Amino acid sequence: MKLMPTYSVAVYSAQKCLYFDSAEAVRFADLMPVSDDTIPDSHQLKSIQQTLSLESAPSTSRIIVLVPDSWLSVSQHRIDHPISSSLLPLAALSYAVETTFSPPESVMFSYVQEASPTKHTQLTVFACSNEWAQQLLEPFQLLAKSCCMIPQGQWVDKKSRAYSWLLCTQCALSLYQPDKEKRKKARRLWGYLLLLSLLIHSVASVYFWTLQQHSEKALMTYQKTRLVQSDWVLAQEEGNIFSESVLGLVQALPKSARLGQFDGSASFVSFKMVLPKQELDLLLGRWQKQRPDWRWEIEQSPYYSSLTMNQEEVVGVSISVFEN
Amino acid sequence: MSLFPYLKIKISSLSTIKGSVVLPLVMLQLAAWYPFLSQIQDDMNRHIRQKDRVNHEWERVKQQAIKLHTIGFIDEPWARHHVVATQTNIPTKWSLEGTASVAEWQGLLEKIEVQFAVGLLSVYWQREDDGQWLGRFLFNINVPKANREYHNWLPSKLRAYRFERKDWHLLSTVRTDESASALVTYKKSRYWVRKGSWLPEAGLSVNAVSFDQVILIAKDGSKQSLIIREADGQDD
Repeated sequence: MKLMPTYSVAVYSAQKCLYFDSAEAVRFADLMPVSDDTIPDSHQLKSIQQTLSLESAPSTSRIIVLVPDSWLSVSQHRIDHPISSSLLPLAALSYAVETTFSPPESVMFSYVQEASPTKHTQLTVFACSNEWAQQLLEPFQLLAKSCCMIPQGQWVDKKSRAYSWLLCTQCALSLYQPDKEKRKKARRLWGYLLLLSLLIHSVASVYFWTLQQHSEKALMTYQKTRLVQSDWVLAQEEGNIFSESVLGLVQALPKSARLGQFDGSASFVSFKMVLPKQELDLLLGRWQKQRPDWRWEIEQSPYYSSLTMNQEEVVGVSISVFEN
Repeated sequence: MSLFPYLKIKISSLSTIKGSVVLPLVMLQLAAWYPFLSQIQDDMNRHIRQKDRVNHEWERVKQQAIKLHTIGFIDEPWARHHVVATQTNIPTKWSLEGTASVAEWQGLLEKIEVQFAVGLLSVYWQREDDGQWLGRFLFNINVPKANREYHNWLPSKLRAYRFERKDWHLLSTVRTDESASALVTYKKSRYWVRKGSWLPEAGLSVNAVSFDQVILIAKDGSKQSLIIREADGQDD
């Protein structure tokens, strides 16, 4: 498979017509420029065309027919102002009509515009009548779907460049097409649209992808740190709320009670204190009412505190509190 | 078949495309991308915020860990502490131990709570004869947050004791082999007291009894001494 769309080339000369399979082959062919200015009549043309051996040629869809410049009417015009591209075909048509003396609808022409630095325009117009073109193209129209006729001088000019089919069709002789320019413009607009769309979608998808990468990276880092942290958190023991709340009760002991020991290191809390017996009963009543869900174990022991005649009994008490 | 005329119109209109059509088409494509891009942008921002938050938190945990290992309490030489357990080099348990007055303990615990986010695992308090407290703490370590709850882990309320000397009189002391007792009056009551006695009405403990004085100690650790006064009778 070749990457470049291939087309075949047929070359007319004064004596014969040569057919080449590909444009590459033409390069190496020894093309004899047609020097004499005589235009063959239809009989001569027929005999030239008979030199072709098209039976062996593989079928192809595109053929370029190179016609000697002298077989066409070539005219050069110098115009002292630049011509807008929309008017250019019309100008070329008028020159073509002038040189071929044919009605505009049966003239085939092509043109080359060369802008000179002094704001002059050099317009070269190649033209021929529709009939003549038909005769020239006749043998090839059976062979291929599309044929284009190009002046040999133009072809030589383009030899150094890579010549695509599109380029060839642009410089091929054709009938006047009033909306050719319009179509060209539309094609250009479509091109822009396509290009812009492509640009938008590629930039947007790259941007989207980048954001997604960033997002995923951040999420992964987050999850990793989170995992380490949750391992650490899970390794922790839970705070001892029970001890704290019993400590809260103990902190609020009245002035007459003296705490001796508080132990909140086991699954239960125990504490020892010294206080008047009366006060103890009061406190226990209040605590049990406040915390009915806790289990209280109380162990009293006589406490030598002071000896008085009129004083209430002071006791030492050891209390264990269980959370049910 | 019914599609054909429509297609024909469509194809012919392709060649009549104008600049004013290209621009809206381009805008339309941009608009089509917008929801996706803004969605993913939001996602990304959210994830980055989450990541930053959790990293910041973890950074603070690590800084706290370093401080826990290295901190020394210069003003509280009585306090000893050490890391009991770690998980991936970050402490999970920390213990604190020492003997001091309630006021000193309060100062230390406040200082600790300002610097560290700790929770109580276990607490042990033991009152010493001189009114000081032996405290033994085991803490768990939490993520340091700007707003955290402060705790009160003291054994008793820290209230200043007002000693009214005129309420007290030391009448006499008696010394036996092992111990000394004293007869004191408080307000209208008389008490025989010895070392360690508790006077519930006054909220005071007897710290020491010697030949001519009795030392009383309040819950906050403040000490008062009662001295036998020869001229007691003259005061009355």
